[in-house]
Amino acid sequence: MKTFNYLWMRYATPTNRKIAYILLILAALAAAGGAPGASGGVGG
Amino acid sequence: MILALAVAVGLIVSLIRFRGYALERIAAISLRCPWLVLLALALQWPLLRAPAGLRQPIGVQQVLFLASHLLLLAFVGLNWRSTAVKIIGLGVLCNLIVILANGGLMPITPETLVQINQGTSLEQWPVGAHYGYSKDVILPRQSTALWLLSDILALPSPFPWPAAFSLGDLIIAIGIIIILQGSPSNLRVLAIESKHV
Repeated sequence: MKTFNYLWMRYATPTNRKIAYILLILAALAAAGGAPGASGGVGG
Repeated sequence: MILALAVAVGLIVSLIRFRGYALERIAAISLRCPWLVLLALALQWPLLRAPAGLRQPIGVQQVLFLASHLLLLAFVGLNWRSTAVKIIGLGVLCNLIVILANGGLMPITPETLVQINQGTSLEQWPVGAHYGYSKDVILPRQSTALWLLSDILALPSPFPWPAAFSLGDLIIAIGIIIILQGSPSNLRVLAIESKHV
């Protein structure tokens, strides 16, 4: 738990959280706007 | 997968171009009502979880799928000042037009499915069926309205994640790569960057 707290304090800065959020939104936009259209593999 | 790749490519290009300032530029990206995108994806989720089969049992999923595009277009409208979002909007619109023209799902030909599913044959892809866990419906080319905008582009094996995608997807990918080049957060960043040029 201590390690987690340390890592959180060290890396989860407001800027880093904003970057992660923007990347999440863009990935969601990618998924919702276009693909996943059709990917190969089992189950298709 | 192709569009998830666009996020990775956009990030890498940004890191190469702006090095230490890339993340600051990305953090400075300002998007209005980004939750609309998450909500749109949530509405599409039931369709993306529907297995292959006839279209009739997924009527509700299709309605939610179409409704999700209203949210996406609202997001594009609210962020219209950004050129990258305009490009993404064009891609979304291209996909939506072909989806609407073909009864509510993105058309894909059996030939393309054989390309991305190695070892399968045309007979395995029944025309008119929903292609499971996707937004696609299997249609032959001659029955596809606006065929050029459908999932005609393919990344077959040995690409690690064989996939089919549309012109609209490609436009969205370009928009995402552009948006990830970010914008200078303030004049200080501009000044620092100009010193390094």
